[in-house]
Amino acid sequence: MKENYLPVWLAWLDQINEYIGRGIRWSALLMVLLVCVDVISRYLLKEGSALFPELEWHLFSIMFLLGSGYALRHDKHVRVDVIYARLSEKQKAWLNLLGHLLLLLPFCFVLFYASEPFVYRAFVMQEQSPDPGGLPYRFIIKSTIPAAAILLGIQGFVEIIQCLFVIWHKGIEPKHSNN
Amino acid sequence: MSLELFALILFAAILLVLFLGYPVAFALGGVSIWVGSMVMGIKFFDLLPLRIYGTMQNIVLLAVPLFIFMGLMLEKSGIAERMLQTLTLLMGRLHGGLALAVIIVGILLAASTGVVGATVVTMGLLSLPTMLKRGYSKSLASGVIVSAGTLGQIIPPSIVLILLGSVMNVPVGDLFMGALIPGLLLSLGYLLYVLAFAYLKPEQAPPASREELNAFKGKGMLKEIAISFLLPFLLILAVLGSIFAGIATPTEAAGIGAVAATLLTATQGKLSMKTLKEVMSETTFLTSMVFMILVGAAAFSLTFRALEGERLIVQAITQSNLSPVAFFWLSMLGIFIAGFFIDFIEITFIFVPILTPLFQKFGFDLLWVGILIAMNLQSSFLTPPFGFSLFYLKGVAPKEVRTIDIYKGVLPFLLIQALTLLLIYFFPKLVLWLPQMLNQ
Amino acid sequence: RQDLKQAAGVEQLNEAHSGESIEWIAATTWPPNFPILGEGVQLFAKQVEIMSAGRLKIKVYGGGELIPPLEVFDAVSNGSIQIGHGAAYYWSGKIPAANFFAAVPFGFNAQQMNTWLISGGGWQLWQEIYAPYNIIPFPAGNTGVQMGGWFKREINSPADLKGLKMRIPGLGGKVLDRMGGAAVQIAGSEIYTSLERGVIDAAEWIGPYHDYTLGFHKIARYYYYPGWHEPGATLELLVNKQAFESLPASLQEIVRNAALRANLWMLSEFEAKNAEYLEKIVSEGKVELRSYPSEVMRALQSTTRQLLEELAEQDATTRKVWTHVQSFKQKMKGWNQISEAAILPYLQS
Ligand code: NA
Ligand code: NA
Repeated sequence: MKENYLPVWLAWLDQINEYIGRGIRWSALLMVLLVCVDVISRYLLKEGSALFPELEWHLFSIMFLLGSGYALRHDKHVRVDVIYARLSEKQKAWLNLLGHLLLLLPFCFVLFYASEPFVYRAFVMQEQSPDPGGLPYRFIIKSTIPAAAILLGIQGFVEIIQCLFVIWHKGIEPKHSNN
Repeated sequence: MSLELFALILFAAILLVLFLGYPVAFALGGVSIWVGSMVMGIKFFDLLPLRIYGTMQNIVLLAVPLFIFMGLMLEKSGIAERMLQTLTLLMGRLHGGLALAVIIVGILLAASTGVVGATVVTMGLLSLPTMLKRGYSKSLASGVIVSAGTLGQIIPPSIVLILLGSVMNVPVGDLFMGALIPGLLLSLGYLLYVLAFAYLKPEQAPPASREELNAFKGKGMLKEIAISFLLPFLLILAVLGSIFAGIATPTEAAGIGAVAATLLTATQGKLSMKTLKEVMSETTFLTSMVFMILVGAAAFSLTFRALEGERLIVQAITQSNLSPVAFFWLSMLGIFIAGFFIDFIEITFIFVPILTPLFQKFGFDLLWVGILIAMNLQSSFLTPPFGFSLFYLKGVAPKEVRTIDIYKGVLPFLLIQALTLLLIYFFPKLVLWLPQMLNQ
Repeated sequence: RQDLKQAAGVEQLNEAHSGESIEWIAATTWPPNFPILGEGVQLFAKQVEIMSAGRLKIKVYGGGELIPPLEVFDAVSNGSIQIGHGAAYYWSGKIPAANFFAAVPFGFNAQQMNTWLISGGGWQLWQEIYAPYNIIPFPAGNTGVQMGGWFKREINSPADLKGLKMRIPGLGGKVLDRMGGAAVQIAGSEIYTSLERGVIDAAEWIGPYHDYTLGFHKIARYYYYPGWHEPGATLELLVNKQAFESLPASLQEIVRNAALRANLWMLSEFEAKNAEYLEKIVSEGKVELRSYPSEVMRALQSTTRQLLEELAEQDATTRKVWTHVQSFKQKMKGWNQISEAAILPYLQS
């Protein structure tokens, strides 16, 4: 629906988080299966491994960090709606516009600015799991933090433009507000 | 300007943005970034990714997505609703029966995990839609779910108790034993409240209608019970059983539950690719919703700590010449107030180490104090406006349930908690009897 | 608690001193107030403040207060905090050789470690290895010999380690794996429940004093000794290089001395408190205190040697430190046998 009134380049930007989200949602299923394999191998085969718990938290991190832009696209980040529920669509658009501009984007900027050297250090050190048998290349999982900042930032930008559309183009359906 | 003033500005600005309805996660994160950068400089937030990385590695938190997956699978397959329907019918004409059942499920989940986000979200997914459909009032339904879903903090195993044990130097096993009776008392309080509520306002906690009951008794009642009740019951057995039989840790048990729920859905012929994708998408949304709040909260508490926002409260408690009783209650009040600002882990780390030697000096039994603090911290999940449990439920609630319904619904339960706290204060045996008996 | 009483004088000293003071932030890997370890860092900070007459003030945050426990190294390295306290093996994912500066199985006891670090060139090596990360390490605490762990079943021969599910992190866990056991990684907060319910058969923590708090004596039958995997874990202060170098020489010396004092204080406290609590555990519980059979110890030791040798193959720095440690042990062997080992049996009563 919303694609109809968005310029092509913006619609394209808006799709980024959708595609990434549809990919990373599989980590939810993988995580569930891994936990079971872990339990079974320990209980039946008496095998312990640092690998399983680490894979599990890697998947978990991928899900909540890289999924954050996807969740924003679908307006799934929870709000207190004591006042929000009473606002008109235009007022909501103003609130989100200002919020994204003044809070979300600066937050993404700082998060990226702070986490980029954090990832770089892990890369230079070739940091790996401190537990023998754990996963190598910690910089990969650490890079989900700046990646989340970028994905959230992109979606924040798209949302801002969409808010502008709602504010200035009367009669256009505001997007997905299922919260 | 003094640091404390900035701390107040930080808090006031967040409250404002929060109440206007901007997403909780980014309200916390965004405002904290501004205030923190103004006072400490942007370089200060080099610490932020370290905190986020700590959350990523915290294996206990895996229980949240695992439980959410299980809850969604049971919801999408209709198993949860069918089970609750049957449960309602089994309760006959008892008003509030469904709410009682939800509390009991909450107690069982609490005995399997100590991660509040996991239980509140799961129970919200499973039972809120059915309760609303059955005609329960929105506030009663949400009050029951958030408070029962938060019981995991006081009913062992519990993360709060383990942290308190390590900070106060009290054996964790004793704390677990000591918390058992108070936890059950609190649960009993909830159950009694629901009964009383249903008696006073029967129309807001309706039972099954006579027609429904007759229909239920008429056609294959036993079969319906077997299918819609015993199967999910087996699932609960798989989760709890795997913990008690020593097969899985509490966190892993959540994963067993998720697989069991998926198999259950498959046996009922409801597992399609569409369902699976929906469950995975929603799990991603809800997990991200819960943990981005924690990311925002990380930025907040980082700034709050650097501004020494806790100092005002600590000074009020420790720097006056108080009688033991006054000191005790002021400490409890301080912890309660701190619960509006910061989460229980921070409180445990900030206040408890300072207060413990004083409690000791005044001759209080640390085991008993620990349980009272745990009860108090548990409330911090539920106190409006900043209670995490309230946010979590809002995140999964149907659109018609407003934040204000949840706020209203939780108030009576907070009162019950205060009463239980008083009860334990006046009857320390409620805490101490069980550990003493077991230690003999 | 003489040391803590002295701190009362701090405020008067501050008033007397009118010059500007430097403020540092410290973060530890221990919970705030954590017995001995957390307390020792508080003590260190207070002593620095007293000795410097308030010119250097250190505000200590416990693990998880400001940053998560295991992120201390990164935070000191990038300079967002000036000082940290932890144990080197926590950073073995970044620097595999770091294990040797905390504890490796069948490594050093406290006295050997101090000798190696202070008079055997170990500290020098340590500083070289941390230098690229912008960090200066100081020995600042030792746990003394730890305990072998809590077991729900007996260990009578190496065969009993087969299939043993034990919570034991790091290299000790790897050794157990190689002996046919299963080193299980469990979050700290779930160890108790997992041992109680039998998800794991055994768990090691620290020594009697700290183990008592976790209440393992209520749920496990056997308490095995000695802690072969940690015969004396050394704790460290990490100081950001620029921060340290910007201090005047007098303050640098104060930091160095306070660290060494913490080194001694923590070891002494560990010894005294462990003795007290061992008695408590034995008298209160139905716990059976047991030593690992020597056959098991020998098997663990030879497996450890193979493992360390393999780790040295994979990493040049590890090779360098491992060789250094071995030649130091060789040098000390003759003396150790006719000094400590010879006299100890006669010193216990
Ligand atoms: Na619990
Ligand atoms: Na240990």
